[in-house]
Amino acid sequence: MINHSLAALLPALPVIPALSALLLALCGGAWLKKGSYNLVGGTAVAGAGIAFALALALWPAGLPGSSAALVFDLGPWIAAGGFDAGLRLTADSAGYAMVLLVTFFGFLITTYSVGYMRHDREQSRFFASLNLFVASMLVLVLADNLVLIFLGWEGVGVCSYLLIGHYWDEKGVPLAAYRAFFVNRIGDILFLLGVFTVFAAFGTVSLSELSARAASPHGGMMMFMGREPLAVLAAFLLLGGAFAKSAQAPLHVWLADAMAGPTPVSALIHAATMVTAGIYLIMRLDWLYAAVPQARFLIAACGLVTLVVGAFMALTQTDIKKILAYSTLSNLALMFLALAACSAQAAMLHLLGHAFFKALLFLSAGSVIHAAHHEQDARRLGGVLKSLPVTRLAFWVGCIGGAGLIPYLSAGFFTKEAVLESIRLSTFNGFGLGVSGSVVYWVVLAVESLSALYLFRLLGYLNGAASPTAHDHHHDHGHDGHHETPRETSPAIRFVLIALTIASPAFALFSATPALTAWVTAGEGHAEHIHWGHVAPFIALNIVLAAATYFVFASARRREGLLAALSALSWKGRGPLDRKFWFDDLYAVAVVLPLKVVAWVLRLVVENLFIGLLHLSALAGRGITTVASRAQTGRPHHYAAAILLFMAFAAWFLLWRRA
Amino acid sequence: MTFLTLSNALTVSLVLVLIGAFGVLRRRNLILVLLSVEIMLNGVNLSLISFNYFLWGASELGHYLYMLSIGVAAVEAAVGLAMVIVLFRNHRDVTRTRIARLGETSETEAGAGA
Amino acid sequence: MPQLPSVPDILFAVSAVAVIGFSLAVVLARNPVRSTLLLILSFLPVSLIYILMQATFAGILQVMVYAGAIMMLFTFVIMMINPAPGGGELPGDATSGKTFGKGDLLWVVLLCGVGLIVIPPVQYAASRITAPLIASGGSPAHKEGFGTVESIAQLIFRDPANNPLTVSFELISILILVGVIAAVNFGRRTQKAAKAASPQATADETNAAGGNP
Repeated sequence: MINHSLAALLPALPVIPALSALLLALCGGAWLKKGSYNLVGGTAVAGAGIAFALALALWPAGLPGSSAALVFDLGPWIAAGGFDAGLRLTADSAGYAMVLLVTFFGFLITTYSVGYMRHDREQSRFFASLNLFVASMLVLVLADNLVLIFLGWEGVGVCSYLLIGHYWDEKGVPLAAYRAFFVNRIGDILFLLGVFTVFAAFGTVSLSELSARAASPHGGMMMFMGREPLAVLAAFLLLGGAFAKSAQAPLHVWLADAMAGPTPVSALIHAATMVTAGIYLIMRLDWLYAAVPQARFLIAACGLVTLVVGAFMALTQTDIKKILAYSTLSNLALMFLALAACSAQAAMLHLLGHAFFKALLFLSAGSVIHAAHHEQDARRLGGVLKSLPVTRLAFWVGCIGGAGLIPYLSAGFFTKEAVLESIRLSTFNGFGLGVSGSVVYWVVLAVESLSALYLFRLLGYLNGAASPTAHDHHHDHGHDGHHETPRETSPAIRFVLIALTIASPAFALFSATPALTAWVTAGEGHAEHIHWGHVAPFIALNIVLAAATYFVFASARRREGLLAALSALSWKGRGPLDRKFWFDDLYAVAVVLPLKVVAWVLRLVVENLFIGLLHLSALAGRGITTVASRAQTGRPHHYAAAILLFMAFAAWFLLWRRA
Repeated sequence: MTFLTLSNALTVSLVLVLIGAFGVLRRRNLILVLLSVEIMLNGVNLSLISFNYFLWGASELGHYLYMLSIGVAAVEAAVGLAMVIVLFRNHRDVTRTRIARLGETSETEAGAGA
Repeated sequence: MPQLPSVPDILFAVSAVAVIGFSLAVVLARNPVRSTLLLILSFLPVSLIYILMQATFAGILQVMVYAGAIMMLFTFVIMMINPAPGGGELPGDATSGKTFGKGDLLWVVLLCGVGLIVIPPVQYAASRITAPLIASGGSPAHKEGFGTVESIAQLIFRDPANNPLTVSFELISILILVGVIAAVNFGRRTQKAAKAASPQATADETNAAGGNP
């Protein structure tokens, strides 16, 4: 049984960070002018920290593993006819896990940002957006109906835009932010249409109500009786929204560009939280997707594409953050594949695990970037980790965790295994095609090996020897090529890195226990059945690959040699990796071109039709006056004639008409 | 053969009106225009008296209207002739071409002739 | 049964022809003085017609007011405008030497056409309306003292408080007064006009008015 009295804490969770954001928005600028950066940072950390404390305070409610949920109803919001979207917050077992995730990483990364952004600019807007993001994400996670989820959905989208565009006057940054927003907008439209379709199909948008109906013995079948088309449509539309938010193909194009924002943003939003919103949504609607196999097939197909695209693009990127971004793409695809396999539990598990090691990786990368004065090209950062001890440790732990090299210490290992198991055990049917889970299983396993490659390539660059040409170039941000060694200067950054370096393996250990599974599945927990027979060879393979890659890339000479050998085989700038698998071209044709055509047509219509009408009316007026003014001859006998004529006509009219 | 009929009287009246109309429209001298107006009024007065004679025996309202018509004609002639005098005084010319040109200042072009 | 026309009928016919003839002459004459005198002459047959129609007061008025006062006004003005001695053309009249040209013919045709269109229906309607009278052959019945001064005076001034004719009579008097004021005002010269006028006119004006206006 859960303790319902703690439900009163639920509304405070999003409200506190929102208030902090408001405070920062109003007073932050003034505080910065006075030089109190610490006040700004402190307010932000307080906002996120109190939210985390409140989340922890919910622990005694006994939610983990329980099948009941805390509910708090703030009152009606939109009620029209049969449509009722109230302000109802609910937290069940899985939702509580998300709440803890969001608040934990929100707090950690806000603290990290205090150190990272110290010498940056416009920090008040940054921290306000960051807090607002946490608040919106909490609304999204705690919402009980689809409309309230949409509120949080939009909120995180806006904050993402604001934060990506933080360096708004640098080349390409506003465009990247706009791109993220635009692609998300496409998803939002599909999401909204999906909400309407859900309402049309089932008469309600309340998640708890829908889940309850689906779970009841006969209700589950009755729900879909006669409404299959609408249900299928709803499933696909909502999927569109989820794809956009969680960067699945073909709506994944914004994630790599989103790295234009500051690194803490990438860590929080584009690794741990916002991009997981899509997965969370599908998880909440798992009863719907269980009934629509075609939608699951689509998820699997797009997931596979994204998995491959992400892994292969990460292999050749030179920007640290872009490597990690494409890695995120791959991992999100894994979560979606779990959902396609009808295993929301596995998806949630990997969601949590990925958050840990990816955040660790991003924050380590951020530390590197911060220390190297915003240099992000790995080729120019050769050996930088040698002078950054804490970061170096964090980076190693993160890479090992990401590649899953040491099972009980890699935050992603058991979670990935859970995903793979669920894939192996299911089949994917839809659109007349059927694929056995085993086939997909082996494909995914193979692609996942690439993660060892790209992660340790990065590590090789950063931890290995310096490139000979590293210090001869100017840095991107206008500093001269300086020869001072990068140093870890921020205690906040170091603190957070240490915390995560400990937390990540801790989570790995936790993830091996049935307790975590029980938490995520709300009741039926079981330890992961690891087929060590299958898995051990792959672990060994990954270790070998990682070691080999590191060996090659850590040495400048071997690195150059390999790249020279590879360039002989390359497609010379026209291959899939160079063209980002031609997705940008697809967008140019499918989205940009039609919009341009519409704009051109409208311009034609407006300029010619409307302005033509204006000209026409002016011409008409002028024409009429020109003709009519000929009656003003100035000669009185003309006027006399007119008068006489008129009198004659009037006489005729009066006399003969009346007769 | 009766000539004194309403239809004959009205015919005379209408003919007078048409003659007067011709004079109003075509004579260039302003005084002649005024005279033509008097001719038209003459015709109208004739019709007034005729109607009263042939259609009413009990009331002389038609005669009274005739008196009003004369009154108005007198006023109109007086004011019109006063204007003729002023025009003559200023321009020594009372033709309608002169009147048409009254609106011209040194900036506007002179229009075509009468 | 063919009947010889009675005296009133003959007189009416002659007067009708006369008035139309004189009016035509007024419009077609070249000399404005001649036009004025012909107009005076054209009022006389009209007066005769009125008397034939038992509108005695109207006939008297026609001669006294119209021919006597209004036409005298016209005559004065014509004389003041200084016509050329010998009845020639006034300066500015008939600039081309011909009194009538192409435009006049057009208007003549037009007006004749109007006449042809309008007059027959009017005749028809009038004869329809007065058919019973013609059938009985007699003149319409009139009351005792129809058309006399007393009768008309009675019409206008009887029961003045409730009589709209009284009001309108007074109003017409006011209208005449207004006309007088307007005419007098037109005749006044402003200071500017006084300076711009020719010395002869100024001399005439000063002589006539006997001082500054």
